[in-house]
Amino acid sequence: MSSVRNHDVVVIGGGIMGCSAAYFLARDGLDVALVERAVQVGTEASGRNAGGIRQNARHPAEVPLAMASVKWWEFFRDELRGAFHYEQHGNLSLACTEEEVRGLQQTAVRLRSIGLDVRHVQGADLKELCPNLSEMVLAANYCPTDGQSNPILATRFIARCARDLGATIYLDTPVVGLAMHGGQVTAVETAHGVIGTDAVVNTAGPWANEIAVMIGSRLPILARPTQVAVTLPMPPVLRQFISGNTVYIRPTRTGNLLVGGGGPWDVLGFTRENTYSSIRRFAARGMQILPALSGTSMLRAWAGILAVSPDRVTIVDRMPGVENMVVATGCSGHGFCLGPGAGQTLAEMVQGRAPSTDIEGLRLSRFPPGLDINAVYKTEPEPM
Amino acid sequence: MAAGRVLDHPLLGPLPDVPAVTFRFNGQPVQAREGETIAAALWAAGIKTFRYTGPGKEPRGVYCGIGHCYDCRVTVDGVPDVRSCLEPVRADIQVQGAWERQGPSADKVNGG
Amino acid sequence: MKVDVAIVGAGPAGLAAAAAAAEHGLDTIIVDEGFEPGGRLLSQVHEISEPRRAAHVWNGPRVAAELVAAAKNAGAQFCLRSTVWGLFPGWRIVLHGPGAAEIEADRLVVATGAMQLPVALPGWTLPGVMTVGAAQSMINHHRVLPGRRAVVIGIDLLALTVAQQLASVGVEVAGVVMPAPGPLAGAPADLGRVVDELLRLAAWAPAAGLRLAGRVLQGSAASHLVARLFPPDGVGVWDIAVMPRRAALEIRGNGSVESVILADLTPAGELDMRTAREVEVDLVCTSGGLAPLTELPEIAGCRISYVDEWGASVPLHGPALETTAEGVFVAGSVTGVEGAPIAALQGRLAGYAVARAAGRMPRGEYDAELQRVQKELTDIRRHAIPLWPNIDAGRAAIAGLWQEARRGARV
Repeated sequence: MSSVRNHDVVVIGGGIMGCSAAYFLARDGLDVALVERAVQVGTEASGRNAGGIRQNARHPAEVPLAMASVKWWEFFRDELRGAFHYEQHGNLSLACTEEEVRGLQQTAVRLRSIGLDVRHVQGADLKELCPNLSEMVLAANYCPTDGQSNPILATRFIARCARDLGATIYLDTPVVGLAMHGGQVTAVETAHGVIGTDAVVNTAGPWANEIAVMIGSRLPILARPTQVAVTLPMPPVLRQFISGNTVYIRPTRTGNLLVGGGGPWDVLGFTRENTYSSIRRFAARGMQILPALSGTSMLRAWAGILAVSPDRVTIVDRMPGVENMVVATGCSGHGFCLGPGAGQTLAEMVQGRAPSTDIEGLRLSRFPPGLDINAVYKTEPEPM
Repeated sequence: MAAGRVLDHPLLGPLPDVPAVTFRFNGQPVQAREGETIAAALWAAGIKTFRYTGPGKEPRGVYCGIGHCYDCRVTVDGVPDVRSCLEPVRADIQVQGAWERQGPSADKVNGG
Repeated sequence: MKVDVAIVGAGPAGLAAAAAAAEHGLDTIIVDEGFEPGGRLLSQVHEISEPRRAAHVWNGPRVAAELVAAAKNAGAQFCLRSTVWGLFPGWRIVLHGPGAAEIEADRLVVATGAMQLPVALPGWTLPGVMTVGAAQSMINHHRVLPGRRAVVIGIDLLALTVAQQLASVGVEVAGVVMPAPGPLAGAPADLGRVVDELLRLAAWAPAAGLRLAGRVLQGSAASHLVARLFPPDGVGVWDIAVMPRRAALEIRGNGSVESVILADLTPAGELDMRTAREVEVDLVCTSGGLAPLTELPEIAGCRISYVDEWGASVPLHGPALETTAEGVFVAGSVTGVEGAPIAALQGRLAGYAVARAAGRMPRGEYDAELQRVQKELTDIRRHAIPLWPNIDAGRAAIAGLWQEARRGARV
């Protein structure tokens, strides 16, 4: 980058949220710059997650955004011919205790009332959907339009689409400061030069608070790693993305299974280490719900860093304390699906339009003023 | 079993006599030498394809020979993903090669 | 199970480290995924001819047996058929194998060696395509013929050694050729680099023509001019046709290797497709270079450094073979590939360093042994055929990086 440039909008952070925002802004005809600190987009949570694209098994406040996102995912795959392995075989959220069964039944009612096609299934219906679950699984909520993708390919595809529409992507370009004047951000200072701009989109994931601090503001998020493991290829024993018993499992096109499941036992911070306790838990808890897992080996494991919010629900809002910055972060491990919907919403907000998707439950105002997430976040022991 | 063996090594000399061991590969009997690996026994018997992979049913077998690449993996007495280049032969073991296909889109989900 | 030191890898470095540590009273266990200890020594049986020394046979299995005996006699325990899949702080070693699932150790020596880099070309997954290391293991360790007629792809010392071994057991070697040039081909397809390598080896090569060329042209920057000296049909080295001007494009066969497509390279290293033809073979051995197996040091938290001089990454280590992870030492080819005798000496050094760190080896004795071993290392480096070029420059680079890392830590 030459030392001073100008763009209409700067998007900070090239994960799925940022790449999507860049796409929708470029689609609306704005001159948008995406700045990414790493040498490629989608290198943190967006490239390390298990690839689930699901509306099921999330807080009702996120469901409208998830449903809007799935429509966009289908658009990227079908209209724009994105080859990122997006398949919709369904998502099953499992109950292994009577209490969990009751919880699922209530959740199904609540989500159906928002308009999501989700069904509570038990017995023979569940067996037909997913023949290889163990007896430990008593019931499930099933969403047939849910699915999975390769998140690395998906993030890069959307970035390419944004570039094709005129977005400029600056890689290997960390943001080091934000210049303000009269309550507005006027420029983004990067390691390679300054970008003058009229608006900023903060989609820096776990670094979003660092960005907020640059304008004297704060975001209630914490960085927390989560781990995933992958098995050697297996014969097809699972069609859907399933979660329950503290883990999730999903099949890939090549027959490997991904097994993961983070939580408040994962130690906070910007590290990407695998722990013995989680690897063992994935194996033990995974085999409890899908006994066929015992027929394969784990090939390797990795971790990625999430941004967790105080209530583990995503944040999409205008940044407080400044007129021309919007933010999406705090997805707490279930943000990947929400990328396109959030990107569209961010683009609308940047241009002063009311969001076409209901994000009222995702606003920062739901938190009490002056909330210190460090005080309210509680680490819990890892279930074994 | 003479075919495929180095009977007289120019530096190590003649192949020493060791007891024969028989096992089965995909149901067929294979004669091996005690103390050798499954991969060596199969290769000496003229068997180069240990398994198949992908919808194209591509044949695979020994590649690195020392346990790094996992291309030589077989199922031994029901235990999957055993590296045949590291596993010693034992009498009467049942060794099978799998055909690993794709995930749920390419095939019906089997009863596990 | 709790021990003072766990050693991962029972090759020459690991075995020597086990003996050195156990000799000083440490509770020592050595872990290997093979069912026989010895690592690559078990496959190494070849003639060595070095300048000013009589030709002799290197019998790797015999060397391995001696090292194993020394380790056992010193009291080291062996845990074989066990794959280390995790190293967690503590140190907690987790294993997959018939024995213990976990070992707790105060210190670790990681001696995991190096792997062969692949040479990828169409048809490379067919049965009958294998690394030169696999062929070497088949012939020398398992006494199995890998094929009847072979082509070797990749020209370096290991490729030439294995080609010669193939020929010595009756395999017809059609030639040792280059990989085809292309964006993924990397260093092995760099004709200039290969020619430099051949000239470097010329001092040891029992091929008069190569030695003469080497003396005349050593140090000359004219690798491409030198390349013109090589006719497409190659030069004989140990009675093997070495063809830096011929490349393999594709491997063909129905179910297994049946032929390979070769074409000539111009002196500038470009393919001349008019010369492409199909050669019948049932075996293709590839030599793409050796790369240290750094996964275990990496997951233990050791910093891994790229050494430009070698074109490879190794765990960053200091003069006592200590890494940036507390209590973790490295030895052998994982620190840079120099062959078994050097690996064994490094293993001893690492064993001594562990003993010293555990307070079981007095300062005076450690310093004396360190000096002795370093002298032996210098002697061997002077006269042995180096597997990698630029060994001294690379070791100096690592020493520099280590100093930088130490300075950084103090800040």
